[in-house]
Amino acid sequence: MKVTWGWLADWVDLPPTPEALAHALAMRGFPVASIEQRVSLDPAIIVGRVLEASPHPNADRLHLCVVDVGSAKLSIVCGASNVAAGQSVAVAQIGARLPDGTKLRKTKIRGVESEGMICSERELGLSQEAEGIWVLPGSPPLGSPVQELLGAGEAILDVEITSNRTDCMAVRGLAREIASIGRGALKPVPALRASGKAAVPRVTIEDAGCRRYMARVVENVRIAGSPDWLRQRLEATGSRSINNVVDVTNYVLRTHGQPIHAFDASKVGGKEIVVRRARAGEGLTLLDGRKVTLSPDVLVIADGSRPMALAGIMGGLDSGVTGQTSTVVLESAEFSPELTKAGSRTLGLDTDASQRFIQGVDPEGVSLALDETARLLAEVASGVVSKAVVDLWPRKEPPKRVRLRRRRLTRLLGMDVDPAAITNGLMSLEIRQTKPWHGEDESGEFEAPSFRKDLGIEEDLIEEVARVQGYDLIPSLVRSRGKTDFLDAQAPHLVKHIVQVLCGFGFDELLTNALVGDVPSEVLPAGGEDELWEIQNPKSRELKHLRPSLLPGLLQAAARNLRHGAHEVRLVEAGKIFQASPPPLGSERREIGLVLVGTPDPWVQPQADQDRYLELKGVVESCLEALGIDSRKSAPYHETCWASGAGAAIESGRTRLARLGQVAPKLAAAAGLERPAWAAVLDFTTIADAVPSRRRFQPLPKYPAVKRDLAVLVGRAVTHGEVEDTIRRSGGRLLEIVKLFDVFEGEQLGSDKKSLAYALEFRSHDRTLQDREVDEAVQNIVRALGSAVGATLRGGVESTAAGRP
Amino acid sequence: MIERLDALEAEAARALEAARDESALEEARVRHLGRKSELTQILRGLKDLSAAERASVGARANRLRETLERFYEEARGRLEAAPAALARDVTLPGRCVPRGHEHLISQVLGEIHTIFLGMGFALAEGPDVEDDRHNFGALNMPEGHPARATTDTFYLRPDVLLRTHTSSVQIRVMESHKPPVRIICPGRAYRNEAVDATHHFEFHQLEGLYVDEDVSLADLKGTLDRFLKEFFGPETELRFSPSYFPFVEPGAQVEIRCFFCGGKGCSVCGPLSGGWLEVLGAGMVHPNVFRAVGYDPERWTGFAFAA
Repeated sequence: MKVTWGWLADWVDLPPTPEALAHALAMRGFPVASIEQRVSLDPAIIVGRVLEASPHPNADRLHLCVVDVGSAKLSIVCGASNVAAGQSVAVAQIGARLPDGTKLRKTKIRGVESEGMICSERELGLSQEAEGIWVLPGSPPLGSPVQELLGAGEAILDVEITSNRTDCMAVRGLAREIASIGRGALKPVPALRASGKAAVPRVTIEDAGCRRYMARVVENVRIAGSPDWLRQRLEATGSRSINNVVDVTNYVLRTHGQPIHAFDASKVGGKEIVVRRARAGEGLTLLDGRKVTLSPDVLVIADGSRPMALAGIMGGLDSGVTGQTSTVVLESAEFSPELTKAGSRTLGLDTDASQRFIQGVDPEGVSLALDETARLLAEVASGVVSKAVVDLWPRKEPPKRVRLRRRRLTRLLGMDVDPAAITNGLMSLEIRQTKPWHGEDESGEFEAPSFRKDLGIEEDLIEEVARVQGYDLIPSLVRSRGKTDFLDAQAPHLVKHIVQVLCGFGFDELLTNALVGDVPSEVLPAGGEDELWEIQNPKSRELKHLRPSLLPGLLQAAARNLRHGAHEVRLVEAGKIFQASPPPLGSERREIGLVLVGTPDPWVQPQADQDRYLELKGVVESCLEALGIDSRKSAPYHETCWASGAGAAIESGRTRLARLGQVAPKLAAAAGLERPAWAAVLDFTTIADAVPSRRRFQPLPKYPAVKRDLAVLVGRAVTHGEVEDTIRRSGGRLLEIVKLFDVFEGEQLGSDKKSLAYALEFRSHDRTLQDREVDEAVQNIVRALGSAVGATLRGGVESTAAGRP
Repeated sequence: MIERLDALEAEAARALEAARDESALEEARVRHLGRKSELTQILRGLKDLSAAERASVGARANRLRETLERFYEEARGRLEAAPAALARDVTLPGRCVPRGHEHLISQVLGEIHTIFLGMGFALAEGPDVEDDRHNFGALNMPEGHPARATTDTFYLRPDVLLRTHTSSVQIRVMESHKPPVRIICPGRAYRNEAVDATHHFEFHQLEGLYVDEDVSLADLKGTLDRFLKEFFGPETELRFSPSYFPFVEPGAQVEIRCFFCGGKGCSVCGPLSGGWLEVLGAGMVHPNVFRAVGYDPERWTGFAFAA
């Protein structure tokens, strides 16, 4: 909420500086976001004293002045009639910038050079009406910036009000809070002089949605512009000045938090005001020119025959104040928040007034706001306030009483507060004790003032006590307590571990948005578009879905890095992916995505393969290895996100731990990548399940291994996976290690053949193996390979040196 | 003869001293200590000398031999200790894939976990896609609550939304666990907000909740005081002041003295805040929240915080 220093100062004595006020308010829960000067003058506009003012030789109306600005005596041509020797004035020096943006230059006026300008209040943006130059009061030091004279009264404070403290969303409410911080009492409202004889229309309340209705008449109102002080205060809070009557109602709204409506008395038909539900089909032209058709959902203020205004929301055009209005009927009322909200929603109208009624106005404040409006109309529009006043209050709510147990307060705050301190502290906030402290848990009863809508339960009062005491007085307690039964969620720990392992392989972690735009068809979930979560009220087209895959985000980031000159990009992201089924909340899974793209560093990897699939696969395998997942194999895996025939899955038993491959070119291109990219997706859930809960120690082998190298010729379509499987299956229990060490394809083998070479290691844990046993095992393997994958032995079986692995 | 030996000593010492490599040293050794060296000749010729001469020359020659042998060993030691010419350019960069980095948010979250785990808090998680009850209703924000209007929520279906805060996890944990509960819940939250230096439509939050039989605002203050001092440094200044969140009462805001400007006021903490940076919202769990999850608000008290 924006408020000027002077406006607050009308109601309460303020601390000496805005900073002190800001601190005091912050400690009460009202941080001050900013304090600005309403006008900020160029420091080159300074105080001067007119030494001489003589007539201009070439012009009747101009004066030739000599002005002492401390450091110099300037010769200035001035057109104002009120300039005279001896005055202190505001001098804009050559080069100074005026608030309207013009920069002062040296000019000749009617043949005489002017070395500056003596300013009026209007030229300095301080007033709209002032005539002539501004004669500064007192004798400020010559040469000092005029800004320094403006003082705190012009400062605009922006105070943050939490949504529960609607009472402080008005200047006087905030002043009341400031007063409670030991700054004396709230200043009283000036007396209203009501002398008019005019009658107030008869008021009837037909609906429970109107809890209190007050009206007064002000005659002889002269509609005009508002005086400076009123205009400036409204403009400081961001609202536009319209005319004196409208401005006064807006000013009262901002000062007292009470919406006021002014009717043109001559338009109130039958001298009668009825607060009732609208009849179906009734029409009303609103102040803003819109025509609305009403229904009984809406409360209206009607005269004898037709609706004049939407109660608590907006006035009607026909009954509103115009330039011809001379008598106004002022309305100050309390309408129910629920009905106002329903009406405002039905009609799609959200106004200052409707917001206040929805928050709830202070029923006790209705009359004060009405009188203040009348008083101000008398002051700024020379109105005559009628003595008569209507006050209908059919639904006066009893004050809220809340029990407060001192024992509970101590338990909740962790601080013992003296009963008298509680009573007095609450009293400073106008929260009265209605029953004395009594009983075992030291209960008292307190009554919340009508403006404090937020006080309903014991905890609310406890907070008030803490606020008055000061949160800084609450002790800081660290207690050592045992662990609860609650077990840590393990996922974040494991995710972190995996990411750290991958960082070790040169991958940089990134976090991309879960909100994405269009989703490429290659990464749509199996169920297609229907499985995609779509935001019903997206911020933009680029943020309308929840991602079903990490790949697009990773690829886009990789493309961006390449565009910024990176030669090689390795990225990893661990994050959630989303699917819209099953109802109601859909499903969320964690995945870890990896992308590898670009040219390997020629120094780090001098003979690197252009095809980086195996490199990425190695990273994934090593990562699983690091997690203790030893048993796994890979197989071709088909998915639209991979280039045709270039996708694979890594499995352990029957569960799939990871998918990887070369990214489908279309998917890469959609992310702005024009070159081959390799990616992997680790399924966090299956990996977490596969991680062994404990690891076993394995002693070093006691007996040497026997090694054999085996090269087999197989058809090109046969995979290493199949061959390795066959070897392991047929190798017997002595076979310990199967390691591929060469793949060879060449013309001499025939175009449909390839050679795979394996190093095999056999070992027993209880004896040294005989060659014979190993030969037998190798023969079994060769036979099995022949029948399972049509492999033939290429060359012989070479026995290599035996030894430890 | 003695003079000759003295001259030999000087000459040999110079030669041994001057040898700059193995071959030069070997050459010097052969020349001055070898079988054909003058010294060896003299030693061999001792038998031809007179007894008196033999005694004095012999003693001198043998001493010279010992001296030269010592010089030789010293010279060899010197050469061995000195590095050989560079066998390779040892300054070439090593070949290794440069290590990657954890995202800053991950690093910071890791630090935060460690501090809270040390204070006995456990990690808890919940879904990003939430229902109305967990995100609002059970958090004392029933339908029509004004705080709902100020939160710009992304909706997936009329009753399904993206959580606007990790406070929803509090509800999920309390629904499934009996007190005492002491947890932190890190995670993403989503709000339909314009992006600026301190706002994003998708941001990382950290929620904390501690419910037991006598948890107080003082415990909240102590816990956050310790956390913030461990995280930002022991000299960190803190300020607790009242604030409002529907799911706590009393509510609090926690600020630290701005570490960019040291409290003078800057573009980060704002010119007027007196150098205070808001870091956490907190408070005592509202009794309505306890009722919503079936905890007895008379028996249990608790604090919650979020950053």
